[in-house]
Order: sequence, then structure tokens, then C-alpha cells
Amino acid sequence: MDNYASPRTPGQGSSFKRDSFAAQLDQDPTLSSSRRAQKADLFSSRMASKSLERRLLAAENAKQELENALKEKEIAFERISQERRWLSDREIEEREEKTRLSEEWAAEKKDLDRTIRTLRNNLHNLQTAHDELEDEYAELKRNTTSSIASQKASLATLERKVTLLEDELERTRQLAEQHKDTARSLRDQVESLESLQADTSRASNGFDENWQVVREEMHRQTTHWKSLESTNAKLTADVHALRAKQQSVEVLREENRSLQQRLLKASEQEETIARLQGEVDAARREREEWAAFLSNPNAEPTHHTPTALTTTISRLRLEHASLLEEHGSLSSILAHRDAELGSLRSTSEDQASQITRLTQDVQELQQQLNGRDRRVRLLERENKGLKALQATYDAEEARFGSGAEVEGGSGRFDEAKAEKLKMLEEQVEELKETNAVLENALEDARARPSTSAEDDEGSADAKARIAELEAELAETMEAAENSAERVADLEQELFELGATINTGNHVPPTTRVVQFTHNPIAEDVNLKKETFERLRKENEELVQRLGEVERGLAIDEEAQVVPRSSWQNIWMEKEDMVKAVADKEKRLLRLKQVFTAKTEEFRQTVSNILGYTLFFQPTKIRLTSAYNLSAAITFQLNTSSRSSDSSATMKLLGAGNGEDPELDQRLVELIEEWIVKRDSIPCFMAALTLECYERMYGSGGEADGGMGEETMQMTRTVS
Amino acid sequence: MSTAQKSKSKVKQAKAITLKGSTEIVTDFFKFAVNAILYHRNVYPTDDFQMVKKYGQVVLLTQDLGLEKYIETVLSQVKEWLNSGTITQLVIAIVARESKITLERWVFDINLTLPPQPTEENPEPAAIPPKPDAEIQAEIRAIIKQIISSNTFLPTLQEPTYFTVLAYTNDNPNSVTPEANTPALWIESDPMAIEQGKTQQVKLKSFDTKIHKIDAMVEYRHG
Repeated sequence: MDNYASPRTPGQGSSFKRDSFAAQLDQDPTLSSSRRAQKADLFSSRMASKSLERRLLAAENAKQELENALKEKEIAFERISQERRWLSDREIEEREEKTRLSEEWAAEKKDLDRTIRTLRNNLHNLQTAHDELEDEYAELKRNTTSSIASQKASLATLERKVTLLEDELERTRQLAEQHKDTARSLRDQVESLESLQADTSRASNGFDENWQVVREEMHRQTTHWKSLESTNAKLTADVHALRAKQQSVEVLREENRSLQQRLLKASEQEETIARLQGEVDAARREREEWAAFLSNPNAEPTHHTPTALTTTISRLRLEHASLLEEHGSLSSILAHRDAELGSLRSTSEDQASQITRLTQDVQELQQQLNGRDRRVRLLERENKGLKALQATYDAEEARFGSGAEVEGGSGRFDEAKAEKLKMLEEQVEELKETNAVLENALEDARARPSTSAEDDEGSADAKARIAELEAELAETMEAAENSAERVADLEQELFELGATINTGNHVPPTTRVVQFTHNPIAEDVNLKKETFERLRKENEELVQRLGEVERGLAIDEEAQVVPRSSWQNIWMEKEDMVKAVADKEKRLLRLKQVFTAKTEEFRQTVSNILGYTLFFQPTKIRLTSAYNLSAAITFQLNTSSRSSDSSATMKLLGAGNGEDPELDQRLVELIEEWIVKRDSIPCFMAALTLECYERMYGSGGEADGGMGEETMQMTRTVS
Repeated sequence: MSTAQKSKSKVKQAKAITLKGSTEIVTDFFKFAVNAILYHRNVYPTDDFQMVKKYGQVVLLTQDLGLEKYIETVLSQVKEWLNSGTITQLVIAIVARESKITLERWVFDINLTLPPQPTEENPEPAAIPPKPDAEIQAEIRAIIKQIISSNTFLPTLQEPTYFTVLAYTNDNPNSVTPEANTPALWIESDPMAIEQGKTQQVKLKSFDTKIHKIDAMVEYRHG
């Protein structure tokens, strides 16, 4: 350009031919410069307007492109949102499915636990029932054994008694028959004698001597008759007594029969018990086998169980197995879903990283593109400016064409200028091509990542949503932890408050603490208060009385020397004491009654066992044999040494009424044998009992009543 | 009949417990628990007690007519409260006779769980599942045994003592006046708390009838 400006010096103009226009220019240089400036301004404004229009067009194009890109982005966003919704729906469904499966599993587990618990309860009940049955069986066995033994013993006793009573009855009947015969014969004799007396009285009075004899005989007979009558009456009484005994024997027989029936029932119960024991054993065996079978399910069952139970258990096992299988499949599905979720998460993370990388690339490309755009715009502007300049030069050349033809020196200048222009045009074309290549590359770069960018954008949204949800979850977890801590604190507070309430230091507002009016504490307090009031009153009266004495007031003998309250106190104390004494006496009386009853019972028992009737007297104990009423023994207590030891003197009062010398002899032998030689009083008493029994029932008719005088006296100290 | 069928029939025979039945069980328990405490803590002479068999074990019952009448009177009122659900706690306070200091408090917390009532939405609500008598008795037996064995850790009562029964009752909302909540011959009382800082609490076992849950606790004064 400097080549264009430099030759315009006036000194050089001398070599060129001046035209009119140049002359006008030389004449009015301001006009030409102003026109040139006007033209340049016009050119520049036109250029500016054109460039603005171009920029506007470019901006509109860019806006159109951006709108298109925005629409595409919106479409991609919509698609990703749909995918995200679909994924969230799938996630919700999956979660619900998981919750449902876990609930079903929990319910099934609960059912199975309940079944197991029920079975355990059944087992426990069976064990309890078994134990109870065992206890009942043992108790029944014991009761039955004891009742059988006692019934046998009582039966034996009763049989013996019955035998004795029957024998005694038979003997008494025989005796009564004998007495009846005797009485009949005596009545006959009396009648014969009365008839004889009548004959004799009618016959003569001369038989006075014989009459005397007869009278004596009659007197004797009458006496004998009376004695016989009394004996008869006595025997009749004995017969009545024996009949009563017979009735009691019948009662005893009836009792015996009832006992035998009870024995039969007891045997039936024993059979029932045996059967129950068998059932219990069978149940135990079955239970043990079940336990063994349950502990070792592979073992073959060696028992015969009820079909229903077997089917039920097999059904339950099948259910359990199917549930376990279902649980396993659900667990595997859950694990598979978890793995899928993990892979999806990893994929989304990869996509997010790719998105980030691509975004960075896009930004770099955008920056490069912007730089290229700027350079292209500058070059275009320069090109346009150069074109405009060329056009001006062309115009100028056309204007000065005639001058050049004339001078012919400007041909070299035009050639150089043309070459220059051509070179510049080539540069412009190269720049245009480069720009086009770059634009294509930019388009390619824009078009290529668009599809993956859409996915990445959706994944980014999903990831953002996941992050948001995770943040919400974390917040919820934190809130739950806070709530748990709060609950724990509240529970602790509640426990402490409960402890405070339990100590009685705090009573809730709506709660009232009440107690019964007549409770032991209140009664004791009332008693003490009453006593205190009484004592206070007595004290006051005593103080008043003391004051009167000190003032020297005369004491009226009839007035109260002792205050009335003191007397009342003493009277109440006396009343209490009387009441206490009455209570004690009543208690003592009751104790005495109990003691007497127990003593009688004890004495009766000892009499039944030993065969001696016991009479306890203050200084001696009298024993009478049950088989011989005349055989009595006394133990005379030694009063001198009563407190130091329990020694007593034994005395055989009598046996056999002195009418049986054999018994006396036997007694002497027994004493010699058991007391003198063997030093055993119990054996002597047992031997005496046996002897009396044999004499009573062995020979018969020798157990006459009545207490004879002592036939043998023996003194022995027993300890 | 096989054992399985027997157990089935036994299970079928178990019926749901009612409020009345539960009240009877709880009142019975209170009676024997009070007697056990009075005997084993030497509140009353040991000669006044006789042995009876209850809950599958030997327990002691007083023969003192006055004490028997007092316990019966108190427990009859407690039974009414249990039926109406207004009692929350029963306390047996053992107090020193001379100093009037509370030495021990035996606290029985009463928690009531009423069976669900039929409503319009649910006319036949699920009944409370029955609990076997044997299980309830075993739980009661465990508490009685704990009361008996509490002598091992409770301080020996050297001085003469007596006792009273305190009832913590809620106000009946249907009552017009507060006085109406207190029955005749019953008065409001001091809780007879043990001095703070000198108490020790030992929680005992509990038993549950599915309607009433009784938590036992003993608090004693030390030092």
C-alpha cells in the first residue's frame, strides 16, 4: 500500500499529463479530499451495514441452530425423563416386590415359629400330663397298697372278733339252754312239791316233823329258785348284750363286705392304672422315638404313629421345604436385582464420567471454534476491505485509464498490482477452505457426541436424582437415629420416673393414694393416742390434787383421794388382764379337752394292740386283760423317786378268781420263766395274755367275771 | 386315645380369660403375697400362720382373725378396683412401730390390657389368645419364691414393725366429685415414701394373665 501512496508527490506529477479532474483537484484540493472522504465514509458505512447485516444473518443462523439444538436437547431431556421415570417405577416396583417378599417370608416364618411353638407346647403338655399321670399312679398305688394292707389287717381283726363273738354266742346259748333246762326241772320240782304239800296238808297235821323238814327243803328250794332266777335274769341280760354284739358283728360283716367291694374297686382301679401306665409307657416310647427321629431326620422311623399325625407332619415338612425353596429363589432374585442395580449404578457412573470428559471436549472445541470464527470474521472483513479497496482502485484505474494509455508507463505497476491482488485472492480462498474444513469438523464434533451426550445427560439426571434420594435417605436415617436416641432418652426418663413413683416420692396428678381406715398402723396410733390422752388427763388431775394438798386444803375422806382417771386407768388395765386370763383359761381348757381326747384315743389304741385295758390313776396304772377280767396287773409308781426316774412297782392283783389251781400254777411258772429267769416283763404280759386267751377259748366256760383277790403277789421294779 | 389327640383336646379346652377371671387370679395372688411378706419379714408372729398348699407349693396363711379380716376387706375393695380398672399400684408398706419410719415398700404395679371391644367397623374383634393356667401359676410361684428368698438380701428387721396396704387409684372420669372416687372407710394417705438417698430397689419377676400384668418390686431402707 505504501507503493500506492508514495508516488503522489507533486514533484513526480511533472512527468504525468494532468487531466481536468486532476486540475480540479489541484484547484480545489479540499473538494477532492472531501469527496474522497465522503466516498470513503459512504463505503465504510455501507460496509458496516453490510457487515451488520451479515452478522445479523449469522446471528439468526446461530439462533436457529441453537433453537434446533435446544429442541433436540428438550427431546433428549424428555426421553431421559421418561427413562428415569421408568427406572424409578421399576425401582419402586422392585422395592415393593422386595417388601412383599420379605413380609411373606416373615409371615411364613412366623407361622412356622407358631407351629413349632404349638408343637413344643403340645410336647410340654404331654410331658406334664405324663408326669401327672405318673404322680397319680404312684399316689393311687400307695393309697391302694396302704388301704389294702389296712383293710386286710382290719379284716383279719374283724374275722377274729367275729369268730370269738360267734363262739361266745354259741357258748352263751348253750349256757342259756342249760339254765332253761335247770329252771324247767326246778319248776317241775316246785310244782311237785306244792302238790305234795297240798296232799300233806290235807292228809294230816301229824306230819309236823316231816313238814318241818319239807319246809326247810322248800325254803332251800325257794332260795335256789331265786338264785336260779337271778342267774336267769343275768344270763338273759348277757344274751341281750350278746345279741347286740351279734348285731354289731352283722354290721362289721356288712362293713367287711363293703370293704371287699372297695377292694374290688381298688383292683379295678389298679387295672386301670396298669392300663394307663401301659399307655404312658407307649406314649413315652413314642415320644422318645419321635425325639430320636426328629433329632436324626435321616433315620427310618421305627414306630407306628397315627396316620393323621404323620400326614400332618409330612405336609408341614413339605410346606416348610417349599417355603425354604421359595425363600431361596426369592433371595437369589433379590441378589440378582441387587447386582443389576449395582451394575446400573456403575454404568451410570461411567456415563457420568464420559459426559464430563465429553463436555470438556465440547467446551474446548467451542473455544477453538470461537477463535476460528473470530479469525474468519477478521479475515473476511479484511478481505472485504481489500476488495473494496480494489474496487476503488479499479474505479480509479478506469478513471485514469486514458492517462496511462497516453503515458504507457503504468503497465508495470498494474501487473505488480494484479499479481498482488491475485496472491491475496488465493490467500482468501485458502482461508475460506480452512474455514470450511473447520466448520465441517465442528459440525462433526457437534453431531458425533450428541447421541451419547443425550444419554449422559439422562444418566446425569438420574444420578442427580439418586444423589438427591440418597441425601434424603441419609437425612431420614439421621432423623431416625435422632428419634431412636430420643426414644431411648424418653425410656430412660420414664424408667427413672417409674422408679420415683415406686419410691412414693412422686404421685401422678390423676392418681390418689388411699388406705383403709382401720389399718394396723392407724389402730396402733389410735391406741397410743388414747393412752396418751388418758395419761395426760391423769397427770393433770394429779397435779391439781398436788396443788390442793400443797395449799393445805382439808382432805375429805369421802372425796376422791385418788383421781378418777387413775382409777379408770387401773380399772381398764384390770379389765384387760381379766380378759387375758379368760382367754388363757379358755385356751387351757381347750388344750385339756384335746389332751383328754387324745389320751383316750391313745389308751384305746394301746388296749387294742396289747390286749390289756389301761386305767391311769394318780399313783398307779392298772392293766386288765381283755380275755380274763380277773387277771389284773398294777404298776405302783414310786412316789419317792418319781421326779428322779420313772421306776414303778409291779403287782399282779389276781387271775382266775382263785378257782383255777392250774391257772395259779401256770402263773407261777410264767413268773418264774419270764420275770425271774429272763427278766422280761413284756414277755410275761404277752404270755399271760396267751394263757388267758387259751383258757377262755380253749377249754371254755372258765372266764367268769368278777375280780378275785390276789392269788399271787409279785414285786418288781421296772424301769 | 393317642397322646396327640389328648393334647389337641386339651388345647381346644383352653378358653380365653375374662376380666373377672383375671381379677380373681390377681386378688388371690395378692392375698398369698401379703401373707408371705408378713410371715417372712416377721411382721406378725410366725405362730399365727399355718401352711396350706397353693400354686403347687406350700404357702402360709395367717390365722389371726383381725389380720385375716383386714386383708379380706382390703382385697375385696381391690377386686372392685381391678374390675373397674382404676387401680394402678398396690403397695405394702412396712413401718417401724416406734419411729414410724418406712422400712420397706413392696410395690405391685398393675397394668391392665382390656380385650378389644366390638365396633361398627370390626364387630368381631380378635380375642386375646388364652394363656394356660399352669403357666400363670408358674409365674406366680416364681414371684412367691422371690418374696421368700428376699430375706437373703433384705436387711433384718430388728425392731417391731407393722404394715399397711396402700392403693394407687385413678380418678373415675364418671364421678362427679373427687370424693366419690374414694369408697367408704377409705381415706387418702401419705405415700409412705422411704427417705431419698437411703433406698435400694430390687425388681422382682412379674406375671401376666393376658389382661392384668403385675410387676413386683421391693424397695428397702438401708443405712
